[in-house]
Amino acid sequence: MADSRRPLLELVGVRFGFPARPDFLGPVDLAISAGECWGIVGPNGAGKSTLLRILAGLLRPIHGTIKLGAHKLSSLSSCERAKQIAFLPQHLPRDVMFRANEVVLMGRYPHRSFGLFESANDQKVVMRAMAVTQTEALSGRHMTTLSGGESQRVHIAAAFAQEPEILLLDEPTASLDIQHQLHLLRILRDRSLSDGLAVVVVTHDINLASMFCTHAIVLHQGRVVAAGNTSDVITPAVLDAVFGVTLSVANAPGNEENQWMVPRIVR
Amino acid sequence: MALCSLALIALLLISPGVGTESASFGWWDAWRAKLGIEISADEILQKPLADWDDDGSISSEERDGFVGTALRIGFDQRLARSLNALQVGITLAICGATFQILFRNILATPYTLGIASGGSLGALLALKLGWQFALLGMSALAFSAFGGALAVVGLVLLLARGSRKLSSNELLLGGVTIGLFCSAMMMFVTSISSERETFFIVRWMMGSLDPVRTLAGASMLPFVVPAWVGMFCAGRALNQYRLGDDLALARGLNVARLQVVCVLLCSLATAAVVAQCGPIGFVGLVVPHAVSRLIGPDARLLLPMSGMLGGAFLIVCDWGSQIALPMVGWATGQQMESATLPIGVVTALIGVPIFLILLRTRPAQPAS
Repeated sequence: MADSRRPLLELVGVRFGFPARPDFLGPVDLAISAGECWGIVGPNGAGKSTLLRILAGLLRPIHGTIKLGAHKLSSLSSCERAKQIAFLPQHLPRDVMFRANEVVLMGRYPHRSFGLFESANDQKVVMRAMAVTQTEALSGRHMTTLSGGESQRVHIAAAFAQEPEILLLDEPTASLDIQHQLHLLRILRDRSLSDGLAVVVVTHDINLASMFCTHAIVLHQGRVVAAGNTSDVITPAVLDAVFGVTLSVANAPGNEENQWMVPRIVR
Repeated sequence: MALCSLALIALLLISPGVGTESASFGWWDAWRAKLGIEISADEILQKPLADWDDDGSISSEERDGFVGTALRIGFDQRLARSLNALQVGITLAICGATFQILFRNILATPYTLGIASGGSLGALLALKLGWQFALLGMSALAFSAFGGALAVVGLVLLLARGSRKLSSNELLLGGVTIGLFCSAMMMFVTSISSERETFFIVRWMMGSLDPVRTLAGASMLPFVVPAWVGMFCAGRALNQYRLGDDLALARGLNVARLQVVCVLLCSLATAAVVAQCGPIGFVGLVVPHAVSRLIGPDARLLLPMSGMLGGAFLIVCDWGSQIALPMVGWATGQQMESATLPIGVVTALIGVPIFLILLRTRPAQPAS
């Protein structure tokens, strides 16, 4: 495991833009350490997914540096990067004819630059990943026959099989019912606590974020409004300013630490 | 996979013995003769030589002459033809499978990028302008067709180059549009051509393994073999590519490079095949589908198996194309004008029923 003093992933003055909007995002300064769960929160179009894709190495920042451990992210080959960072896009492929275990095996891709078929060690890692995500029973099923929640768990298993130190997820709970949402978040938190996996999720569900994430970053129109411990960041004052919605805070019954944000009905 | 290769070898073994009635001899005898085992002309021609010679006797020179002729037919023609059908079938099936994955489109074929139309236009121009030369086993016609096919692919790639990575839809649209343009040009040139030229180009576009001699067949190898090897090695990457660009990129796959390499290798191979044999249809579309229905979508198995099945399929179709017309002629008692059926007709006649049965008996996985 990486030195706990040094952050796994460090962003300094990162900016990103499109030709039409050169100052779309940034500057963003962020330090993500092992075992932390970061939530990226903000309105539509605030740059949440863009930030996540920059972290995944899919987009290259225009300014600023990203350091992965001791190395600059841009100096690593894409396979070296993929050994440490796994990314699950919002829209996961579900119409592929592969079986679930084949999809999980594909998570081993960056670990093998030569040879066509997976080794015994790959198989072992995959078995473990499927056990953790409780997808063993789905192993021989075709992806097209799985429900949304099952399919997502299979892809999470593939991400675990990639053995990353950082896992990035874009709206992982968006299409899941409440039971599957909690199940998914529990799997992620377990990995985070046991293996020191750093997790970054983009989410619209503020309550889920405040319940699950240790840290949060709030984006608004490409700027960082607040970042830090979840309890300091996800507050009615910040959210009022960002979303333009007045929120009330309620304590969850039976769990006084857990605060729930409830929008006041606008008439 | 091992079973498939065995079946292929078996096909090649019996191929010297398969052909039209006028020279019928068993494949076993042919191989024995080839390997220098003493064999009588009676055996290889499967009928007493007495039938051939009025006086019933035969000198040893005549006998050797018969055996020599039989060997030439068996190996220089029939086996060479089958080997040629094999490499064409392998190439078309592998390229078809690759393009179906690459364009994420089940209707993609090796000709989707306009290679067939470009090649046909090239061939037509060579014919029209009366070019006559031969180089390295390629005739002027083949050269021109090859050039036409490559020009089209180059144009399509140039069109799609605008973005950092090739968008498969742009490629498809570009290929189809340029293909249509080539077709229009062909109609134009055909409209001012003589009947004989028109007939020739129509026959050319049906595809044929007829004119391909050993040297011409070998001239394809430098183009098709890199595609076979390259696509086999790209199996894992193509699997990953199927999961979508985002996931593939995040896992360290260089999507843009994969696309360019695959398009280049497959286009070169397909262009070489089209140049020699014309646009033989159906193999590149249906064989990969049939194989993926049988063994699943894993590209590491799908591509080699498609290649083997495509090769075997085309060998059998080639036999069919040689045997069918003489048989029809024999049955109806009519003299046929042409000796062989266009290979495209046979691939469809044999392949369509088989594929339809597959489609019915092995339904695609139900969408949930």
